[in-house]
Amino acid sequence: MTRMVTVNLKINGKQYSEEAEPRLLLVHFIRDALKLKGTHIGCDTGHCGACTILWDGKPVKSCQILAVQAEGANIMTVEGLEPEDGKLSIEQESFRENFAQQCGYCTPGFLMMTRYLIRNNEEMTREEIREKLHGNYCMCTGYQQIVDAVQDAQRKYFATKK
Amino acid sequence: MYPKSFEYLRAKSVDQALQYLKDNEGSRVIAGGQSLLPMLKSRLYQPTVLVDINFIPELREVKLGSNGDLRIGAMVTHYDVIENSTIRENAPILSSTAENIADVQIRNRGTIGGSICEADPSADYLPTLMALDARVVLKTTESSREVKVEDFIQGPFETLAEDGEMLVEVIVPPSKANYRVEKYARRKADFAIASVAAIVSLSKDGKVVDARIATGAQQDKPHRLREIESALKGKASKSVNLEAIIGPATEELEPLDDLHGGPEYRKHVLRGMLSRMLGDLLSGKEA
Amino acid sequence: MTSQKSSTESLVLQSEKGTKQNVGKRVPRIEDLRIVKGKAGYTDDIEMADQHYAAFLFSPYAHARIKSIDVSKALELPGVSLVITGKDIKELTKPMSSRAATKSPTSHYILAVDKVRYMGEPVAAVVARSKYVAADAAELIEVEYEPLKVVASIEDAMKKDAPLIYPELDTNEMISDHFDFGDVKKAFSEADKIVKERIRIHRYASTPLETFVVNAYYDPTREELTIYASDQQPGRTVQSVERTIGIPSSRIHLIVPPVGGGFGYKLAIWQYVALASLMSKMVGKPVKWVQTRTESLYAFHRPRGYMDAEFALRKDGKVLGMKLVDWQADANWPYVAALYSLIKFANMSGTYEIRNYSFEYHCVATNDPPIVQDRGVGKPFMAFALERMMDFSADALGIDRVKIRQVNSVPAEKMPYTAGSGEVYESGNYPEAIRRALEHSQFQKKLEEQAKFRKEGRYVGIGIATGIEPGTSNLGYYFLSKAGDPDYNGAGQMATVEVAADGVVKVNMNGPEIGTGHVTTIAQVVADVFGITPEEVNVDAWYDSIHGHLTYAGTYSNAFNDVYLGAVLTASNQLKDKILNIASSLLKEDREELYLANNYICKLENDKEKRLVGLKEIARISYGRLLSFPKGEEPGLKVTAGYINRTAKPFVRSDFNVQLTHSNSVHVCFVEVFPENWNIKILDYAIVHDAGKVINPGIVDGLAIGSTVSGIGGALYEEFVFDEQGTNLSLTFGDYLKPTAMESPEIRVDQMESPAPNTVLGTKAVGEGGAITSLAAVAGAVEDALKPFNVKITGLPITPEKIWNMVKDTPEYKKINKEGQ
Repeated sequence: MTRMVTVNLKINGKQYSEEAEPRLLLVHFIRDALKLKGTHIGCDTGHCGACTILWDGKPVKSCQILAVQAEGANIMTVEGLEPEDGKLSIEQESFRENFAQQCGYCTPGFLMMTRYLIRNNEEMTREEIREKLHGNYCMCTGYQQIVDAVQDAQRKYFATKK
Repeated sequence: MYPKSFEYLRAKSVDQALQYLKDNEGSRVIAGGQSLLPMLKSRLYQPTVLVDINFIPELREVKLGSNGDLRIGAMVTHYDVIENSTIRENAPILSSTAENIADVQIRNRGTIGGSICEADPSADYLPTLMALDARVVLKTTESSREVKVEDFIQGPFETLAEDGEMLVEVIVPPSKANYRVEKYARRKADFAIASVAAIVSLSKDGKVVDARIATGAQQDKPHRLREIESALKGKASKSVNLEAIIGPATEELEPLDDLHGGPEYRKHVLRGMLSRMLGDLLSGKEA
Repeated sequence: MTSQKSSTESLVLQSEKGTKQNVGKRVPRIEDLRIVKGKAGYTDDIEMADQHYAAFLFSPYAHARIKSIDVSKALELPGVSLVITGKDIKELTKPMSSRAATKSPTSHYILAVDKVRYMGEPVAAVVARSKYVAADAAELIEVEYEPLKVVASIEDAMKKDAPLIYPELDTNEMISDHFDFGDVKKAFSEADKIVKERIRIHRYASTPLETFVVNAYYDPTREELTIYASDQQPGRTVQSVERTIGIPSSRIHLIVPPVGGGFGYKLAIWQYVALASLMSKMVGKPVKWVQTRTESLYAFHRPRGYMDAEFALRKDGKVLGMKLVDWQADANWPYVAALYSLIKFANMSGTYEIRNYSFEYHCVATNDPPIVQDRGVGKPFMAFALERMMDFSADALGIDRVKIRQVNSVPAEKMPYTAGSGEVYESGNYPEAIRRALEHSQFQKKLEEQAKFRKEGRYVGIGIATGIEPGTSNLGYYFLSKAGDPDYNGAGQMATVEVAADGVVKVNMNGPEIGTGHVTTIAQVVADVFGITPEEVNVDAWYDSIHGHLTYAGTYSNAFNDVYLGAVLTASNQLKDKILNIASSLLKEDREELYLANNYICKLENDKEKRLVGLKEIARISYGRLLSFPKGEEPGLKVTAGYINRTAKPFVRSDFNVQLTHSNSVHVCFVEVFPENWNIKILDYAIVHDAGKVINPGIVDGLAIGSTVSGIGGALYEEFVFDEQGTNLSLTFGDYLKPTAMESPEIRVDQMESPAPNTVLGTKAVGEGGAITSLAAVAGAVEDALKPFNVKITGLPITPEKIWNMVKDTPEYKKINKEGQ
């Protein structure tokens, strides 16, 4: 047996300290050790983006990182999106209103991208949104309603800033 | 997919990392991990010890050397290569290259040092770094040496790095000359079917002062197209017959052959790219 | 059972009495409230106590004899509790058998026995305490193979001395048949022109983002098998598990949490459900298996094959007759052999009036991996072949590609139309659909743009294709080849509706939720029946076999809008009847004056709604206050009802409906091909889609767009590539190219509504149309763009490299490359 390593990290504002085998993937750590099941696995090779999380505010693919590498990291998963008042966040609301999900398996990854993109870009065109989302696969929607949702979310976000 | 077991050593400094590498036979560095993780997961690669260099702040630095050279730490991410103003000013072609790499998420985690050590024949950075005459700094506990990127890359997934040696820095001579860098792939995140990095300086009277051109995905490693370079140098840009140069100069290439593109097609695409990109550069069009 | 007519009437009745009608509205999806919070709850999210994990070892060879398997090292690994191989399987299970083929192999088990027939066939299985250890153990199993000669193509398989995939059959051709409709001979003798072409289809697949996941636990204290699985056809899985591993179906409890994408792929999971179940029984632990992406790309695709098509044409474009010979490499998994051919024969004339045709098919076993009923099954190829032939016919006659489609469309006044095969097209207006598509796509403007671009040296093209999108499978085509009374049919389903003790209306559709909006669609319909809002209806997104189901329960074959809604409505109406009867007795009010609205039993007094008693109160009495409960009724408010679409015909070769509803669409695609690298960009994409009555436009638009992009993937990007040793080279999403948001076009959808007369709400098939119609529209557009090069596209995917190979020796190519210098 290999040596276990203690990983201390913050997820969705909460501090965790858990043992992990060095080979354990961050996505398995999040799902299996911390029981946060909203982050999904879709491809194993870093193509599909279903496992996208925010790491210090920037999106990364949690199946491409070892859990032990997340020491000291500040992470947000889809479970962290929801405001405390129980309402939906801007991103969640826009995805729902625009029918941006069918089976929903890819949705958490797209939502994390949206959280990042709408806050870190000037108003994006549809083409720009498509370009920035190409690391996330959706097998159901054909992406159009997802692009609608991201555009809508950015408009809503900008409206809160006015 | 689940990696096989390995020991994990977290280095806090370059010296500690080098010591770990020296003390552990079969150890290997993990940088951003964006290429390494899929290989660990498919078990194509089974190291016994991984030395993590993500916790070494000095490897994330970007500096200008006293001679004006850009010094980019091995752990500088693709995102930083795009955004860092020192890199953008001194080697804008490098920032443009990074924009073509994979996707937003991978650019946030993947690093320039890791990408170079991967030595993929279709990798994005290599043609650009070759065109820039960039060097890498390789260190062991005892020694430090500088090697040209062109020499460092030996073949597919093969470099000059020896056991216990680690790439710590990339040195890029500044280049503000006009450039083009492009890759052609079916989808943006895919490895190139053909890629070209070209830097061309023209004198005021339209003569080619300097031309440095490299290509990827055309052979077992990216390389400079020196025949084209020398055919251009010193010529009046208006009088160049590109087709007459590109055809023969690319004749001997033996491009990769896989399901994304056969050798003849890759060569065809390369020629089209060279013709258009060099045509633009010779006419002085800014990027 | 309540008749279809009264179901529909009661819906109308409710909306007349002042409650808001929900059917037809763009109601935001209820299931999305969980999905956007990351709380959809897929199968892999469920863990059982003392959870164990399975891993499989898959064959690296496409065809090989298994000489020996050494499992000792795997068994020695700490944490490993079981390793099984074909030896155990041969003892403990029954082989798979075919459903359609008359000759059924007897040597294909759920784990390879003695030999492997495709790369990726499971050879051994492991159970361990963690998924990482299970993977370690699988790697330690040592198998000695003796490679056999690989049968890499249909042509190879049909050679005299070809190695046999199933030696017990003495042939690689599992089944073939020939159908004749009308007078084909006469049609060809009267033809002004005959056009002949071989059209090919490649291997591709839908690849849902969630892979196969199964979690099985055999509880010895109850002697019951509990299974969680991402399964699209649980009714059938229960039967298959019973048949293969011998646990009686009455002792199998199968639960399907929301499925992360189905697309037909999840119909093939039963083999692994059986394996996980068997292993759980052997180790006494819950066994979970989560398929990796590479494992999911090994097998269960669409088959490759070709069709030799011959069209007899009249000068004006009228297709007098067709001769079609279909070859499919779809027999290397006996379970669904012949399906890809058989599903085509009845709908082969598409939206056209072509009375005379022959259809012959050959189902061949090769070392290609197994197939599954992927989105639309054989119909994307059916439409591709038919529509390409329409284009070639138009070109051969020198008439317009739109015109030939107009000439041959079934005229509106002939609806309902019975095709030569017996397939009944229940409603629709195909000429009008074309007219609307020309308008919606701004076809005339596109032609003008194209002319302008061509002058500028740009290669721009327009493609048009029509398509039939059948729904609800009569399934009985299996029995056209196998005599006997079939044990299953897809023309019916069951559903459960209740008013729970707390007064909440609750529904279980007794079929899996695969992402196509069933929860909300059902909520809209049931809300209208009970006069409440969709949000108030608690629709369970989980399938649970304890609710009861028909043998072939599942979400497949575009049947939801027909048979599941039929069952939901039937149960809802029965329950509503019961509630009103109870209320009438309790209140001593005339039953006919009572109705349900806003959770109350109401009646009209002086044209004003009077609330008499709450639904909650009726529930309280029905479940608990039994002394007050009226005589003559049964306590409890729960109804499980079945529904059959009665237009399904019995199985007669000459008069047969493969499917029962028929949506149709017209796609217009506008592309540009770039001569530097021959890459293709879709500039515009317009769809007219007629799926009958639309219950939720947001959902239906999404399915039309999404299915179209899946077809575009098949047309331009996706292919499983094999070398001559049958090695699958496309085992990651880096090598099997799915379209991303960048490759997917903006798609404009125009919904037409021709209600189906044979479904309860007039609804029809929705989820497959784009996958069926898009292939030919894209191919036609690319071919049109390349018109100056005079190329013909008869196969897919159309890659830039293939285009370059087609054009590089043409005069136009030489011309532009000379000019380029």
